[in-house]
This record gives sequence, C-alpha cells and structure tokens, in this order.
Amino acid sequence: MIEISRQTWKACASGTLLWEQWNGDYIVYNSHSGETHFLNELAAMALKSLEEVPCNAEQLAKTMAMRDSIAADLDTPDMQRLIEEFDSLGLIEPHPS
Amino acid sequence: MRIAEFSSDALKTRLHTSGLYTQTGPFKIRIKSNSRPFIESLRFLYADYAVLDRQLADFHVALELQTNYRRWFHPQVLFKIDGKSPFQPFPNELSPPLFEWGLNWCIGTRAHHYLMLHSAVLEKNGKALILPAHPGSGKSTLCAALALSGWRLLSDEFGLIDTKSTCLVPIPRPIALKNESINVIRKLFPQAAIGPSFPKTRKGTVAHVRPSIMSVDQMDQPAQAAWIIFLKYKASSPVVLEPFDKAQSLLRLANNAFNYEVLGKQGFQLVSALVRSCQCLWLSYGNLEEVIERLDALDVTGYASTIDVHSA
Amino acid sequence: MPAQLTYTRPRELLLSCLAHPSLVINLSEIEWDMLLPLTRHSKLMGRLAERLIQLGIFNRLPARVQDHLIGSMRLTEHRQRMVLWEINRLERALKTSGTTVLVLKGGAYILARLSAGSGRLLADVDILVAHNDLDTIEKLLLSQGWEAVQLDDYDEHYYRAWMHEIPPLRHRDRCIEVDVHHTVLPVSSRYKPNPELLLTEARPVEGCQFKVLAPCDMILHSAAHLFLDGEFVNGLRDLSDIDLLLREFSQKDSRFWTRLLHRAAEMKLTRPLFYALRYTRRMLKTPVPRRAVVAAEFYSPGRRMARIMDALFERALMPDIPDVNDRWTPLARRLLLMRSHWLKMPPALLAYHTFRKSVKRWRPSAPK
Repeated sequence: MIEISRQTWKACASGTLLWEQWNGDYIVYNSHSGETHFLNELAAMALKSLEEVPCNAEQLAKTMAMRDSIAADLDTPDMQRLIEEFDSLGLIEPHPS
Repeated sequence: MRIAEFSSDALKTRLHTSGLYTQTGPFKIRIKSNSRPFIESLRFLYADYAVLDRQLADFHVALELQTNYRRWFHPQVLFKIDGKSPFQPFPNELSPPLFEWGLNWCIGTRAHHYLMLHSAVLEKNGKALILPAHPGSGKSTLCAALALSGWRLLSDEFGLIDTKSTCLVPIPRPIALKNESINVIRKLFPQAAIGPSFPKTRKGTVAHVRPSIMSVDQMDQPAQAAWIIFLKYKASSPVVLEPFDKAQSLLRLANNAFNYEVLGKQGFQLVSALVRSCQCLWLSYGNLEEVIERLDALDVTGYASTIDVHSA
Repeated sequence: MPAQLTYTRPRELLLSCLAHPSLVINLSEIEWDMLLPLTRHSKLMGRLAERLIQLGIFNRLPARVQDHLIGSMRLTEHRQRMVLWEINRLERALKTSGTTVLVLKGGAYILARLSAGSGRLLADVDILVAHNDLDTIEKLLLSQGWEAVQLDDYDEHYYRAWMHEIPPLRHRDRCIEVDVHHTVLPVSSRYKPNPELLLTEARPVEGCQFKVLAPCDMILHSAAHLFLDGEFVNGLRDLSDIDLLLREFSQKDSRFWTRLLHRAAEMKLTRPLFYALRYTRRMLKTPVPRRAVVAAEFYSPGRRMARIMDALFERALMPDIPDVNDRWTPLARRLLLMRSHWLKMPPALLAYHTFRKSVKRWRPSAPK
C-alpha cells in the first residue's frame, strides 16, 4: 500500500529539462544530472504539467484526468508512484507551499 | 611529400630522431618510434599521408621499445603520449595495432571540441552514412566493403561531429578487420591493400585495410549526414532495410557516442539534430554484395522501395 | 613587459603563463606546442582556458589552440556537473538528518563561486562532518544507495582507526566517489588541527544547505594537504588553487593577511602556511605584502632546511612528465613521500604500515 503524501512538487527550474518528441515517444534531458530519459506519453504529460504548475499527487491525478481520457484510469497512488520516480531521477523537486 | 616517398631507412631515421609529423583529418600528429614492425606498417598503411613540417602537434605519440632485460628474448613496446604511457606494454610484434588503439584512445579522451560518435562514416555524392558500432553489427566489415566499392571513407571508428555545423569531419585511418572478416574482404576485393594479420590480440586476429588515396586526399572535406543505419549481421539472411524509430535512434546514438555525457546539453542537442535531419534505418544483412547494391541505391530511391522489395 | 617572449625551458614557460595568463597572446605555435601538454598534465588547462575567456583574449588565440582549450573546458564542465549533481543528491539524502555538512576543496570553490572554482578539474566530492554525526550520516547514505568502495580488511581498518576518513562511498547508479572526513588531517598526525574550530566558523553558500570553510580555513586546509600529504599528482593545480584563493580573499578583505596568520597559529598549521606562501610567491608570483612575508618567515624551518625543501618541493610540485622532470625529480618525490609518512604516523605504526604494504606487494594477487 503506497502512502499518499500532501507534498507539493514542481519540475526543475525552466531551462533545466530539454525535450524531444516523436509521435508518442518523449525524450527528456536533465541538464542538472546530465542524464537522458525516455518517457511514454502519460509520464511526459505529467512531467510537463509539473513544469507548468506545482501540485501534489492528488491534484496531478485530477489534472491528468481532465486532459486525457486514458489518464482517467490513473488514480492518486499511481501518480504518487510516478512522482517518487521523478523525484529519484531528480526531474522534480519539493515545492514549499 | 607523402610517407611512401621516404626510403625505409630515411623513415626509420626520422622516427628515431626528431619524429615524423603527419595529419589525419583535423589532427596533426608527431610520431616517434624505434619499433621495427610499426615503422614497416606505417610505411604501408599510411603510405599516402602527408609529411608535414614541425608545428603545433595535437598529439605527441611514441612507440618505444622497453629497455629492460626482456628486450633480449621478448621485446616489448610502450605506447606513449606526451612521454607518459597510459597502457601496459605490448609484445613488440603487436606495435601496429597498438598504435591504432593508442591513437584512438588519445582522440577519444581529449577531442571534446567534437561530438564523437563510435561509428563508421562513409560518403557518396556529398551525403554521409553513419554506421554506429554495436557488438555483432559487422560495422568494420561493411565499412571496408563500402570503402572498396566507391564510397569515400571518413572514418571506421569516429563519427566526428562539428559542433557548429553538425557536419561530419573526416578522420580517415586504416580500417581494422577482425577474424573471419579479413578473409571475407580479401576474397571479395582481391585488389584491397591489407596489411599483415596480427593473431592473439585481445580482439582476436586483426588486420588493417589501407584507406584509398581519394579518402586521404579529401580528408579536409566534411560531409553532411543523410542516413543513420543501425546494423545487424545475420549469416545468410536476406537484406532487410527499414525505417527505425527516431526516439530509439536518439538513445542508441547517444549511448554509443564516446563523449555524449561530456558535452552535456550540447551533446543532447547535437544528437537530436542529427536524428531529426537524417533518415534513421535498421539494416540486417547476411551478404555483403547484396547490401552494397542496396546501399548504393539509397541515394536514388531512398529507403521506401527497399521496404517493398522486402515485403514482396 | 617584453613584447615577444621566447621560452626554451618548459618549466619557465608554464609558470609564467600561469602567473600572467595574458602573456599567452604572444606565444608562437611552437611555444603552444610545449605549453599545451604541460597545462594538460598539470590539470590546469580548463582553468587557463576560463581565465583567457575572462581576460577577453581567447578569440585571438590560434584556432587549433582554441580547440584544445574548448575540449578541456567541456571536460571540466562535465566533471563539475557530476560533482554538483552528487552534492545535490547528498543534500536530498541528508535533508532531514539535522547534521552540518561542509563541502571541501574543489566542490567548495564551485559552490562558493570563487575564482578557484572556474575551470577547476575535479573528480570526487569531499565532505567534512562532526565526529558525532559520522555514524548517522554513514547509515543514511548506506540506506539510500551509496556503497562502500571495496577495500580489504587491513586498508579498511587503516582508514577508520588511523586515517581521517571512513572508506570512500559511491552511489550504485553513479561514478563519483564521496569521501566523508571528520577531521582535516590523519588522527595519528603530528599536526592536530581541531575540526570543531572549522565547523563553528563554516560559511553558508547560496542555493545549497551545505556549508564551506571560512576563507582562512580554506587556504590552511588546502596548504596542510598539499605540504603534508606527500602526494603531488595534482600538486601544481592545488598550488594554483591557493594562489587564486589568496588573491581573491586578500582583495575582498583588508585585514585578510593578519587574520590568516592568526588563524594558522590557532590551528597549529603555521609551517604549511609558510610553505604555501613561499611556493605560491616563488612559482606563481602571488602578491603577498611584505609584512606578511616577514611574519611567515618566523615559521620557516630554518634557512638551510628551507633551501633543501625548495629543491624538493619545486620539483615535486611540477607535473610529472619528462618535459619538466630532471634526474633528481624521482628522488625528490620519494623523499617527500617518506617525510609525509613520518609526519602522519608515530614511528612504530609507520613501520607496521610499511611492513604490511611490502608484504602485500610481494604476495601474489588472489584470483578474482
């Protein structure tokens, strides 16, 4: 059982992440870590949303559901897992709110 | 003056004393050596390379016989850059391949003013073809075959990308063939100038193909990349040439580069610019003659027709 | 300043260009041919390149020289990016621990945005923590993916009991080594600066929760390692660090020299400071006011000894390549290494350590 945190997150400062995209495949370069990551469409959408507006797992699930019908199946624990993954890769950081 | 114009003795004296200055692509190299097998192979494999005057050298390299007791029964040679040796000594008879590996090491660890892909690069009609290295790809074999069939060799090992123009900068050097591929190329191209075979290296048996005089003489002419082709050699299977996913191509090309990480953001931007501007293809092949024909036709027909042939 | 310089001796060429980088504008291609390998093997090529950009003369250099300098800047940027990322990950891992962490050496120069950080080539992250926090920090890191770099039992014991470090750590996904120190010099060393003094004086840096040493301590720490450790793989780079730190801090603070001498006495590091001022002045022409030179002279090992040390340090501090080595260089390096062991360990322990090392050298290595 995954623990849902109220923590708000935001993507790293603008200019840190460089994007490249073909069809539904996304590649993001993190200029802080120097690492290149391959993301599917949903993960890319979530990360881009965190670039625009800082939010927590629950809010992210709602935002995603509004944007995309496939994402409607995703719940808050899914988003929490995704956020933890992004955090461990250093793509996002906690946002003091 | 070209290296071949030296008499054997004059070349030996030059390498023993002040050193020989020559050039491959953008790099000027000063070479000193007292290793006989190396001097002989230099005269053969680098025959068409220019002899330069003393000047700023990008690499000061030397192949020096070790002077310890071993020299009497088992002479060993050290590769040195700036007077220091980054590697263990090699048996003297392996000094020619050691020179190739040593020089690759120097370029790969220092020339970060380029993006350096680990690829063979060839050119025809002003369009360059990038063949990224991958174990089991048969990159060098195909590279030698194309270089012996009218393609201009830019490099068998380094896809040097100019960071401003994204052009491929030639760095023609002997092509290293391994094991069975040595005989395959000898049989298919009896006219090829292939040096002696060196058995029992850490990569098995190695032999080098001398680059054509055309590719040596045009080493100052960069080319724009048109195709990136990921290879897979499968014995006696038909040629299959098909489009390859762009995102995967970017990741593979980045992974395969010598200094993608070193260049940071610039590395990402260069690799993605290349992938955007090139046709990315997947090629599996089992027969060299057939694949040369297909790649020759690339320029005229693009890859679309090849898919039809495959599905037919 | 002479308009045209002709250098025939590599040593002179390298040191003048480091002391007065703007001189390089007059170099011929042949002199560059000599200078480039010297700066590369001193690990100072990136630093020189950045200095030439700051001086606005980079674009006037020969194109092929620029290529080498650009290549070395890409490499230093890459190393700095990796080190800063490791520091970022350490911050994240230790966020809730309530401990004070100081970043040392190269990492600190970059974090504090000092001129010694620009173009500084570096490989590892060194951090200093209070002895009491050592266990907490080691546990936190080990539980979050860092692993001890494999050492054998004797080396591990040597590290923990007699040296000033726990074995280096490395995160399993990355390749940067993290050295966690709890004192600045070996526990068994004759020089025993009190680490508490360093921690209480530590300075915050912008954009990072870790701290760095106070200006005087930064110089004393670097001097202590350079002149007591006996290893000079990066000798000239470290001397150049001290040169740049001295220049920068003395410009920012009018009482800097008094503070520095006072702090050296407090930390019992007056001898290393004497050497630092002597060799930065002699080799890199660091401007040190006369009264500071006179005051430091008080900590000299004596005129005759100082001359002997000149012969040793001025050889060992140069990059180890045939261009600058003379027949005495290997001996100078060996003597300084012996001296450092003598300074680090009590004689009985030294004998034991050397004995273990020689036994290990002769033992055939175990099959892996």
